[in-house]
Amino acid sequence: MSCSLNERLPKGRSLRYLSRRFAVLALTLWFAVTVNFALPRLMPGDPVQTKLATIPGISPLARRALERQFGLDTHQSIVGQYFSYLGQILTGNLGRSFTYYPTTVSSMIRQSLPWTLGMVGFATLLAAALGCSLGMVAAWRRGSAGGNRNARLDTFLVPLGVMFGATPPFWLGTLLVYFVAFKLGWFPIGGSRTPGAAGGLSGTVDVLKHAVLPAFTLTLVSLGGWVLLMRNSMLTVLNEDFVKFARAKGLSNRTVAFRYAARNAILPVFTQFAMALGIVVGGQVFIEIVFSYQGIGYWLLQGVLNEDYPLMQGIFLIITVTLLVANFLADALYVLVDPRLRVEGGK
Amino acid sequence: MRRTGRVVAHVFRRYARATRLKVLLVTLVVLSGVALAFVSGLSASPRSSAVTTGGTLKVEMPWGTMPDNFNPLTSQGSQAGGTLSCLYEQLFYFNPATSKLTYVLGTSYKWTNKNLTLVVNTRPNVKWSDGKPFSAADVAFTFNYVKANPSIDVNGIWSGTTMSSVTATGPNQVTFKFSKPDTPALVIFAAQFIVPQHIWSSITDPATATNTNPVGTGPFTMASYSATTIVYKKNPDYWMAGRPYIDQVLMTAVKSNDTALLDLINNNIQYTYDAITNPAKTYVPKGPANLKYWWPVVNANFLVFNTTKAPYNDVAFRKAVAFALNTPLIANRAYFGAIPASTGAAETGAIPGQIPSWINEQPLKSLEWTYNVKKAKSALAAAGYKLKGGKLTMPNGKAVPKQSILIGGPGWTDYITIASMISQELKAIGISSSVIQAPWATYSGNLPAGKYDMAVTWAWGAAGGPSPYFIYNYNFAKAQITGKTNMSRYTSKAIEKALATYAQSSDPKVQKAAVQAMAKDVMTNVPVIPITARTNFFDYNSKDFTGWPSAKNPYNAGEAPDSPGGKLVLINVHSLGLK
Repeated sequence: MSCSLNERLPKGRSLRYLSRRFAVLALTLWFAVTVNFALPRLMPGDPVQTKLATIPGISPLARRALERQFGLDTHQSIVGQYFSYLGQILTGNLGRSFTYYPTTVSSMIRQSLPWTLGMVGFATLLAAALGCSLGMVAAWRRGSAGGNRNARLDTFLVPLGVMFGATPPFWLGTLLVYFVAFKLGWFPIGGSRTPGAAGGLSGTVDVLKHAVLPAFTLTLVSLGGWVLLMRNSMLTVLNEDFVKFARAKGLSNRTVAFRYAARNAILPVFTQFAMALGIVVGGQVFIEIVFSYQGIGYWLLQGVLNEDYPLMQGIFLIITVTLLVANFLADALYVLVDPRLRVEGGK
Repeated sequence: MRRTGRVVAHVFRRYARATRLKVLLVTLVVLSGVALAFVSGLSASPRSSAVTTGGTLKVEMPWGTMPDNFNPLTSQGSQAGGTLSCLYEQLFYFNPATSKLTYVLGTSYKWTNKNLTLVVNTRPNVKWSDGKPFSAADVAFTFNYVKANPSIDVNGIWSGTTMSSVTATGPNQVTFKFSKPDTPALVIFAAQFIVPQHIWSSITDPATATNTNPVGTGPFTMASYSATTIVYKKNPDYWMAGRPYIDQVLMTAVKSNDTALLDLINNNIQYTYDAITNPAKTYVPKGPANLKYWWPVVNANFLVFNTTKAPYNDVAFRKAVAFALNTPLIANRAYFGAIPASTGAAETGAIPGQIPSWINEQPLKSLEWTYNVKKAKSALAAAGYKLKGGKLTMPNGKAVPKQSILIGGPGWTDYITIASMISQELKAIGISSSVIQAPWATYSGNLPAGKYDMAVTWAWGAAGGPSPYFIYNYNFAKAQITGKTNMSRYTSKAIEKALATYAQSSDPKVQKAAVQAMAKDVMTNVPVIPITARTNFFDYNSKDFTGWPSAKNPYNAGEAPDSPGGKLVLINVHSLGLK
């Protein structure tokens, strides 16, 4: 973006585009929140009875106290409950976990989110950056198997990417835990840090050591997808007339590849990337369980296992909201990245 | 070692004056030996004067992390490990495995006024860990505080009994008044943890209070907190002279049972709680001298019939099924010999350890059953059932359709084994059935709703009850159908009458007769078939410490370390000294 926005941007059109996007965001958000409200109420079972069944030594007479603690003794109508739920969400109150009562769900999310963001976020960034670069180079040096020495990368990378992309992450993770962590002992078997580990530099190293294997698994598994996406997108662009024209002008390979082809090819990748960032927040449930990583996915599993509605609802809410907002931001940024949108006002 | 030494030195300096008195007291305790053991009920076996004090006991549990929450008033499991054993105490401890009572903050109790009034004497000369004196006023405060805040009534004191008021009627005396005689209430409110009035009277929302500076009467005080390790230091002012023997308890939270077990095997910790699969093969051989487990029976696993449905509404049918089940074989396959089958007097559904105190087995002998398919078949034939081509037909001529056995607890391999074997054995008397493994929500919802044919489950509400009354009340009382613990939906006049008699009396003889009547009714009508026992899972390493509970010295019921029973372990174990 070498030029200033104000010059180029026909204000009315992009504003209309953005406001339409925003309306869609608001509507989907409302819908997601409503579904989130309805789901636990449609599920069979009784969280208090579950708690009475799973806590050893608890008296059946605890029922009323638990119902009160969980706010299940309410005589509010369903409509009233719905509106107080909306009110609570707007004030950031996600309720208290049933399982870990009286811990608030928001504090649990606050504690676990940084771990997920750090580990999964880093892996996603790494996979996307590495995958896009590799995909770009692979497309540039494209070619079928055979004599073209330059096409080696393409020949190997594509099948390899497909293979790792199709590998279930929990399987790859289990293999890594067994061979690299257990047999070789290079990395810790699980957890996010050594209990009671000191802070400072050694603490940081400890945290990083714990993150290496899960992050590596995630990167390996998702890398293939990025490579393929970027490669295919790039291939399409390379066949466009303006690329041929650029070559004909005698521009350097570098300029053609980066400034003409890659810049256009990255657009679909961009959407994908926004989605992936949204998914980061949801954690990678399988990865976090295999490595006992105390991120949000681990808590989601605990919530589901214990019928902990507020915990589940809180996590679902965070996931949907981030996903939707990330999507919206991607749409909004499109206006900046894709000049066509500015001219046509978004199709 | 060095750090421990410094701590010891510190403690000595601080309490130098008290030490001489304590030496005297310890000597007194030792001298009175057996006698005191009987009076207090807390002491382990009589021992020589050579008890080594000091040392750190390491406890590990698969809690994941521990919250910074030391509130003893919310339900068990919501506070940091150790709150309910190291820090806070109750009036009495009832041992569910033996029916025995241990006096804790209460020293005696007496029912008067036609069982409408209960007078409890509280222990004198007890101090809160902040130095303030404990008195009956704290006890009365706690109960009235719970009344004012129903969300912390996790024992159901005010919602589940007929208690009407609690007042301190002396510095060491509390009087409980009832609107109707309700003597089992004693057990219910004995479970209430007592908190200091001078701290809690200013806390307005006790259900969410985290009480991060806990002040209790317990044998330890909280010295440091982290989400995975909590250090509890010996309370030098603990009311029981000379106890605890150990200086420190380290409560560590780990991610899984396997980690804790591995640490137990490697002599890194001394105490955990885990249902080890086949412990005699997978655990004990890894250190036969030190690796021990003691799993006392505190409940039972039942095959529950939905007695509102045909053919389970027919007593003759239920009794016939009882003869068709080889419970010793089922127990052996499900628990590898670590947990026994429910045979003989245990067929009453009562906890075996309670039977000698409550049930006269002799008159019930004729009602007992043992595995005998022939007898099962002839009993069915006598009741008008016909077995044709391996299929059972009811007396009304209709074939018994395919039945189901509901089990829950996803991944509970013992329940899967029990249910599949029952299903297999029922084939011999012409009943085909399938096993339904339901998720918790469905299982715990369908059971009380009566949406099942047969189910494997435990005696609900049995935990903590020191008499069979509690099992019979929770599982067979009419009121407990809506109370969601009477899963078989079985009711009988005899049981209703006996439950009322028991609850209105404080005379052990009358209560015993009532329990006997209920045991007889259950064995006659077989609303459930007790299959195997259910136990606690106390696992310990005896390399460096002794004084553990055992079948010979059952001062607790092998409970988890974060419970009043677990506390008894913490004040009874002592170091074996340096080796």
